[in-house]
This record gives sequence, C-alpha cells and structure tokens, in this order.
Amino acid sequence: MIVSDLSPARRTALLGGTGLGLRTGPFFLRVHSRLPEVIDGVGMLYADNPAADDVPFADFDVAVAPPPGLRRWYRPQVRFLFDGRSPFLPLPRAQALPLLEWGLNWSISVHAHHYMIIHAATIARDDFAVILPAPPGSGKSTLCAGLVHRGWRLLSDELALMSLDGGAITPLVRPISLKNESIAIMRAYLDDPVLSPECADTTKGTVALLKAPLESLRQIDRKAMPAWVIFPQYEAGAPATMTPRSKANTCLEIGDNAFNYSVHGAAGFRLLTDVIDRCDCFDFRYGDLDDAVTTFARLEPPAAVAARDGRP
Amino acid sequence: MATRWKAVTNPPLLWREWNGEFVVYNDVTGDTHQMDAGSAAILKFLETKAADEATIHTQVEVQAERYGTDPARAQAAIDQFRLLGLIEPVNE
Repeated sequence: MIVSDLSPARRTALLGGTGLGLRTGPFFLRVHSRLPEVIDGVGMLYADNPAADDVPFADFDVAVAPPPGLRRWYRPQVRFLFDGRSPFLPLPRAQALPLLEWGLNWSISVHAHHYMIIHAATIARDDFAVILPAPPGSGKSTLCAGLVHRGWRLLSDELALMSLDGGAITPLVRPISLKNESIAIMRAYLDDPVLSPECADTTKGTVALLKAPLESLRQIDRKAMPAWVIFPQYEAGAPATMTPRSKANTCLEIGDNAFNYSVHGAAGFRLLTDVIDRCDCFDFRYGDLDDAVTTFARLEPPAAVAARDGRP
Repeated sequence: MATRWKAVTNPPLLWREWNGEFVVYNDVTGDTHQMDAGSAAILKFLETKAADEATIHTQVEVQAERYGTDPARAQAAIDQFRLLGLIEPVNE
C-alpha cells in the first residue's frame, strides 16, 4: 500500500489519531498531525511512499502540532515532537510542513549511527553514486533536482546514508528542499512538478518541497556504491566545468560534513578514506542546468568501482 | 636535559596518502589533519623515535631540501604538531 491508496479521510484520521505509518528509505515512521497543511502536504509529497495504517514498531514517532497555551492562536506557532518531546524551539505556524522535513532530518542525523551520515545530496545512475556535499547557497539542491529528472535517481537531497561496511549509499528518497530562486528555476525546468506551497521567512529564506520522482521511489531499496565526490557551485553564466580536486582535502571536507564522524572514530576514518580512495573527486562549477546534465551524463565510474561491477 | 618529542603512538596515528598529500587521524583527539609530504615525513620520523629539538631541526632541513619546502614552514608544522597533540614530550 502507498499513501495515495488511502482516502483523504482515512489519511486525516490516521495522522490525527494513532499515526500514519510511512516508510522513507530504510526507516519506518509514525507521523502525527492535525494541521491541514501537514495532512495535505504529506498526502502530496509522500503519495508514492509505502504506507501502513497499523505500525506496531516505528523507527521514529514524530508529530507536528501547535504548542500548548496562547501560541496556538496568537501569532500561532508549531512544534516538532519526537517521541512526544520537542527537541527544539517552536516555529511560526506557516512553517509547519518544512518543519516536518527538518525534524525528520534531525531525527535521522542524531539517531541513525549505524550509518555514516554525511550532509550531502546523493544521486545514482545504475549502481554508481555521486556524493554532492555543499554548503547552503551552492546550488546543490537545484542541481540535484535537475539531475534526478534527467536520468539520475534520487538517493537523498540532504543526508547521505553510508554503510559502515563497504560504504554503499542507502536511498532515503524524501522530498527535495528548494530555496529562493531555485523554486522558480525548477518550476520552469520541470514538466508539471509537484511542489508544496512556498513558505517564506524561514532561516533559509523561502522554501518549497519538491516531490521525489516516482522512478526513484520505485528503486527505494537499490543501494549504490560511491563513484564520485563532486562539490557543486552555481555561478550565473559560468560554463559547466569539472575540475579534479585533492583527495586529501576532499577527505577533510567530507569529515566536516559528516554529522557523526566523531562517533565512529578510527573506523570512520578508515571508511571515508577507503571510499574516497575509490572515487573520482571534482569541483563542479555551473551556470546552466542543461549544461550540468550534459556534463554529468559523461561521467564514467572509476576503474576501482567499476571493477566491483558496482555491486553495493 | 633537553626535552625529547615523539608522535603519539597509543593508539597509533592512522595515515592515508594521495599524490603526495597526507591525511592523518589521531584517535586520542578524534581529529583528522591534512599535511604535505615534508610535514608528514617529519611526523613519521617522530613516530619511529623520540627526538630533541636539535634533531628535529635537522629533520626539518632534510625534509625541506628533499621536498623543496620552506624550512620555516616545516618548523611551523612542528609547532602545530605540539598544539594539535600529534606529538608529546617523552619522560625519560
């Protein structure tokens, strides 16, 4: 069963009651909310995700709900709840749907230490993955959104889940978070994209959530072996340029972008250096999505990864 | 008696090298460091034996000549090694 198999009434009842069982990648969620924008948003953005109306066990039990007291009504706010507790401060009510996504990111990055979790987008072609680490504003999500609609499949827009045994990337396949100018860019670039309403005045600016491609969801269990680590940087008008970069520096940057590198200690160092050893590492500058797509289409997996037949 | 210095060995440093660039992991601090070949050679020397300042200075000049680096930069690396906990004084 997928989320869209549920009637709106049933979906509303589950979210407002015992919780909607939702699978995203390797995680089983139980999601609660009585807020119409969250109910509608989940129904839209997770329409093709596996769902259940009875979840005896969930990796994460989460909710988006108004706080108690006056802020339910006066300059209304919302909270993210994890196992009934709020790990961070409330946000304006208008940010309820993005808050669900941010809360899920937090839930995974803080708890899922059976992976090395890297703050990066990851995409794959066949069984070979690109890791795209990048700070905010680099154009990572725009590039990711473009590529996964042009021959690549989405593993994750935000969190790369790297296996501690061998480094394979496990798909997470959640909505892509677009910000500011990238929202209009993707509206124009894609045919009839499924986009949440825009949410202004967040700490990231204006955000909108783009539903993951159906083909990516169909391959939600297909892991991929890292073959490339590519640091993107959008620059208006720049020709698409792929420049080899230092593996030593890449190692440090990946470590800095890993939420739980310190948790894994020496094993984490060995894992990252083994993965980087096999990968080709680049800086990628681009100013046009079609150019970027063409450049990425020409990527060939390095011999060390291809020799494994890409078997994750 | 002059202080002698040695790289931390318990647990040992973990190394990886690509094209003459090195990364080293120190399990005591949990830190990962990047360094050039000359600096790495000095630190690897100090993994094998404790050395006083004069011996270290000689190593600095040897590696600077070998890798074409500025001796002042190599000496700065030694100072960094101390600050970062990659080398420690040896009690004898």
